[in-house]
Amino acid sequence: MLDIQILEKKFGSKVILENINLQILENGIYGFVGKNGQGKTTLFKCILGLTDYEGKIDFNSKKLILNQIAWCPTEPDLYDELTAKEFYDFYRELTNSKKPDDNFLFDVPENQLLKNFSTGMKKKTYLNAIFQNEHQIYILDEPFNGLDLESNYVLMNFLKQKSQHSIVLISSHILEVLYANCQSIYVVKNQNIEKFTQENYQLIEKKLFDL
Amino acid sequence: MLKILKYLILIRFRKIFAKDDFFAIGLFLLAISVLGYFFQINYQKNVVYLAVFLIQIIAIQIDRNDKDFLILNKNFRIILFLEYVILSLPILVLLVLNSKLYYFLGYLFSIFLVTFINKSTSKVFRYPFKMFDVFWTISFRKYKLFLLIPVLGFVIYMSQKYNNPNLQYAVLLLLGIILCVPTSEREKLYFIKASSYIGQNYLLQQMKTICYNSMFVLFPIAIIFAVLEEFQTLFFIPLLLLFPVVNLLFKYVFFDRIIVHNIFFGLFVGGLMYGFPLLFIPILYFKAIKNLKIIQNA
Repeated sequence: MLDIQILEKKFGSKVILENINLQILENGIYGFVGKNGQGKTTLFKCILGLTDYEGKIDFNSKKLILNQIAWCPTEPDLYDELTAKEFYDFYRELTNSKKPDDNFLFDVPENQLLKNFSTGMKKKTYLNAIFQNEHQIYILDEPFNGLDLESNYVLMNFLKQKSQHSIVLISSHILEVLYANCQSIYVVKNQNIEKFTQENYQLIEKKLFDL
Repeated sequence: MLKILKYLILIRFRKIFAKDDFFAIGLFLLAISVLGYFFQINYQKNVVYLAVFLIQIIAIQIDRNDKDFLILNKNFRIILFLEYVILSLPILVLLVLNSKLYYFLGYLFSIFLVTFINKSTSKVFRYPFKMFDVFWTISFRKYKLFLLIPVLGFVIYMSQKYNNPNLQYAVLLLLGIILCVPTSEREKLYFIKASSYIGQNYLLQQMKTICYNSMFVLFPIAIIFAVLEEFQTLFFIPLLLLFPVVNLLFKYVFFDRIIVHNIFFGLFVGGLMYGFPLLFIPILYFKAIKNLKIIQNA
């Protein structure tokens, strides 16, 4: 179980998240929506331990550490002077992965420098790297940004498979994709998070846009 | 053709000088003339260092990204050749002044050959380094450090030929600096946190990587020393590993403070001749582990 309790997260004097109490009890895909700047990425960074916050986040009653999680930011920050193949090797060595996996989800030119890649290609490379390992939690911040239609389709199917055995958290502005695939959706708004189950999805837009 | 050549030279020097900054241009020409003068005085002693010009020309050819445009001109190879001749003028003048006709022609022929280096030969080279620390590959690729290894080999040869042991110490110093380049770079925080190796294990893994990767730099130089029977200097080669390892410890002790890291490492190296800085290594080791654990939220 993923237990997220954030009493307060602020940048300077600005409170971004407050009194967040969120439990994810079973495996599946969970969506996060919200306008820009509402705190979706900040929430993910709190879960990942990439930013300080007041509170605690546990996974199966133990402190969550980042190497249990596959994390993909909106725009992955890679080492541009490496080739895709070298980046895969690096990630494999870093995470002590024994699996010499050459079956990657996406096709990218393996022997070109990453600095010559487009945003989408970089994202595919990054996703290929992190998907070399099995993780208990997958967190993807706007994963469909920059990817072409086919890649989005391939990625969503992959995440559906992973969600059988893992918790998958994704943020996106494409509500239709979240409606179709998520077990529940969380709306991040005004420092708070509200959960919507599948029966209540029609209320999400009202909540988001103050209709 | 001459117009293209003019613009190529202009672009190259515009990166260094602002437009119409005749004062800076004058200073540059003055510096070149003074350097040339001193090279001329000690020509016999310094002639080997002039090979650096050729390495620089090779680096320019490999790095240039205007080849796709230039190739549209049927005389593109002559344009490149003439550009390199202009950039090499100081050495060419020196060779002419010293009546070194064969060196002069050899140099011209070499830079003509350099114009044939194209994308197919300058494709991304895969280094044999362990990837746990990516900065070995990145540094060697970015700064073309591998080019220094044959130069160092040549300097060792010259040191023996002219019976100048100081050159060998300079080679050792430069090797130590080369080994410290990758360990001076900082990895992105996320990747330290994402590693399966926590604290001490992460540090030990980094040290193993240093030892493994350093072999590819030290081994060729060690062979040259062995072949030239310079066994006294050869003995010092394994000790060079101390530099990147200590630099690594300083990096994690002062992870957020690059300048402080460099100052303390400089002080450490400076004090090595007295021996006492070695006493600090265990403290650095434990402090580095502690900081790594903080970074990794462990």
